[in-house]
Amino acid sequence: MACFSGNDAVALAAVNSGAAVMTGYPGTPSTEVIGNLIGHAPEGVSVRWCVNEKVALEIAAGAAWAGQRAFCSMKMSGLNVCYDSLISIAYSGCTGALVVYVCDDPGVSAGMPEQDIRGFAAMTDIPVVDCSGVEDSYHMTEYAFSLSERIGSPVLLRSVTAVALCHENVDLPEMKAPPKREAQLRRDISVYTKAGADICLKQHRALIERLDTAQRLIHEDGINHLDICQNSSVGVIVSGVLGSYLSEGLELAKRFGGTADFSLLWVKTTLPAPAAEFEELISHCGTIAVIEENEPYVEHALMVCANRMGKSPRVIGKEDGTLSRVGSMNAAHIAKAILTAQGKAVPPQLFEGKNYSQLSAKRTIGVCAGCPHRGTFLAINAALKNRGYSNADAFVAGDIGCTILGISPPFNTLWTEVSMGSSVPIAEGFNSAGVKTPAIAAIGDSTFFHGGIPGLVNAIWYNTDITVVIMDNGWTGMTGMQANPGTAADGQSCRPVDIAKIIPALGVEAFAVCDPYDFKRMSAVLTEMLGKPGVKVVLARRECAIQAGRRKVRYSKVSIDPSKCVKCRLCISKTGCPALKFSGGEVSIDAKQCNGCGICSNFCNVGAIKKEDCHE
Amino acid sequence: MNEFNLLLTGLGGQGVLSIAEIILNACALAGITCSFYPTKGMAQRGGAVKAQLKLGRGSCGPELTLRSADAAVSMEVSESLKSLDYVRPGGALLVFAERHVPYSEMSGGGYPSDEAVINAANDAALETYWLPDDALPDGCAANIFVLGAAYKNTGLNELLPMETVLEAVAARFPKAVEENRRAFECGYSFIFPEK
Repeated sequence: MACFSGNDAVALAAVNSGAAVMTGYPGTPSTEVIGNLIGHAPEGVSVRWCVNEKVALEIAAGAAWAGQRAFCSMKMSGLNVCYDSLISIAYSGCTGALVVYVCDDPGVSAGMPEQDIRGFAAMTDIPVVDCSGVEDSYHMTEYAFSLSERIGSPVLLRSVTAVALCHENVDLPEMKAPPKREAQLRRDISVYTKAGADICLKQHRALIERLDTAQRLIHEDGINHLDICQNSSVGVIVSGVLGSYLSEGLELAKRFGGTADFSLLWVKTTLPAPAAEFEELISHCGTIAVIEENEPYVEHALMVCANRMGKSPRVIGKEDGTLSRVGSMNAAHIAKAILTAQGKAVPPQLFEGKNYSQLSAKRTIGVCAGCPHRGTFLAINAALKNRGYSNADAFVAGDIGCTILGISPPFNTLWTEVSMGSSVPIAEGFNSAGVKTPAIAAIGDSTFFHGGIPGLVNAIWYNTDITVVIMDNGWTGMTGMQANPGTAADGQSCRPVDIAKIIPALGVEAFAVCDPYDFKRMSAVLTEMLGKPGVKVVLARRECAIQAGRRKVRYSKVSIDPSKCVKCRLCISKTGCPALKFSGGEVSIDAKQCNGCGICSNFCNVGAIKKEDCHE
Repeated sequence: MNEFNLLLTGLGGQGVLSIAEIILNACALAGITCSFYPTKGMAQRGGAVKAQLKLGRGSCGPELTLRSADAAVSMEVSESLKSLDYVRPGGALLVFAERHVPYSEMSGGGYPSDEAVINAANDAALETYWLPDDALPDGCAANIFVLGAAYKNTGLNELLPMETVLEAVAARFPKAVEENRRAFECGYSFIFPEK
């Protein structure tokens, strides 16, 4: 036995299924699939992070059209980014296999809209296969490849946070090099283009036929398990991960008068809906509880099936209000649905605790000790103040990634968080709406490459009065320091694609490169930029403190002179640096956390913080 | 006892997830099923970390329901409050009494007192084991020290042989086998005061 997470199991199964090309963009909770394979995949498997999900999908689709088995990984927000291509690719179908792995995040562990990607599957008419547990993730990945190749269509392989990040000790096969397949070349504009109504209508018919074939194959393969209970007219449907909570949910239900007498269907493919299993269940049951996280897709498909059969079972789920569309689910929700279906009272204690957590200290999410973004946010605030504005009267758009940590105190700099690259156009929108105060966009390096460049080009095109601050720490930080096109091989020197060369090439004249550790210069540069017309770009460049810390980089030695310190704690309240402590009436610096960035020394009015060069 | 649910809480950087990984690996060595579900959100930025473990349950869903944990272990005073609703009455709560006061609370009164935490644990009818942070011997990793104390006092010792846990600790930190064995043993032999 060995320890695997759901993501580990997916990665292993993809390689063992013969994936020759594996692409992705980092996104919690999907990141480890590609992240753990880079540098560890067998020869013959090309694994790469891509600039964004759309690029990643298009590379994988190209490989699948050339006859290979291909795999693409992303979080749910990434599917929104690449959906334009996915729908077109789905209408074309594929020659090899194309498995698109997407993680939903019911309960929102990572702070994005709590969307349910099964809706995309429905709009695209491609199968969606759920990973219900760690070991199941392995088998469903293998199955997704097999199904994709048999029907000639991309298949969505869906997981959720509680499966993707859950670890178990399981027996899985060793990783093996894929059998070598020769790439094929096949020019067929009736399949690979959308040139005209004839081609598009033909593709739409073929798309629907592929889904029908998938429905038949999935039924024959017995992927959705149905157990009919002869002496009960109650049915229970569990979807995906919720099936793994069944035994525990039943134990809970039994404590409150529930019984195991019900027919059970475990749905692992929301689309195509398991129609044959639905029909058998509807024929047998007068009451059916449907337990699925987030949106009621299985429930709606069941209702459509019942309607087609001329039956009207009582359906317990989201539509009758028994279960919520919001949040993750566990054994308590299984118990609630079973008890409701069996006509038993649902005890409030299933979901009610005493809320002791309310007594705990509130922790705002801030940036790490030594984070260069701290210097950038403080410099933006200082520049606005120098120009006579406060955080309440100058618009600063945030973007996705560590950049967004500037929404929190003590910075309170950012106003908005939308999607990758959105900060620059949203700032342009505020400016074009007639807002007279400065409009600023703050965007990270990976986000800039991902989706920020088109917005900046647009702002330049219209000579918009905005200031763009690109916070370049050299890594895709929030998801755990993955490489991006601007990542230097040794962390700090030359970059494969250099933002400092891109900006002048776009014709931006008001451009400066600043070190966010140099608070005084960066505030001065930003103050000056805010007074200029047109598009101004400030590239705040300093490597991510965590990543530099892994190489033991220490920039200087910072210490507090207790004889000068007046305990005003301005250093703490202005910077919020977790390396600064106040206890026992003394301010101190935690040497384990401090990397010597020295930003705090700018906020001591009595000169008690000393910064000395490091000669280690 | 052949099933055991455990909740670990603390902050990023305290080694909470390492404790969970060691228990998961010890279970593999002992042939006991184990599901470990980490929640780390913004852990690198000092945020809350949580690990939900289900031992001996076979194939199961990863989330704990209210009052379903047999024990909770916290590496931090305030964070321990987040586990209380998940432990069954009569279950164990072990708190390593380190305090990480957020900067915003350094001058305010928003950080709970030890008494507030102990009263809440009593209200939840838990058996509390308060492990003072100054009991940590020099040169010992706090999380392995806490693991030793938790192993002895929360019921984990009824499922897992001690040598198996120590083997998993050694496998996790192969360069510091002796130091960590000592840290574990110091935690294991810590005498909690009688109530």
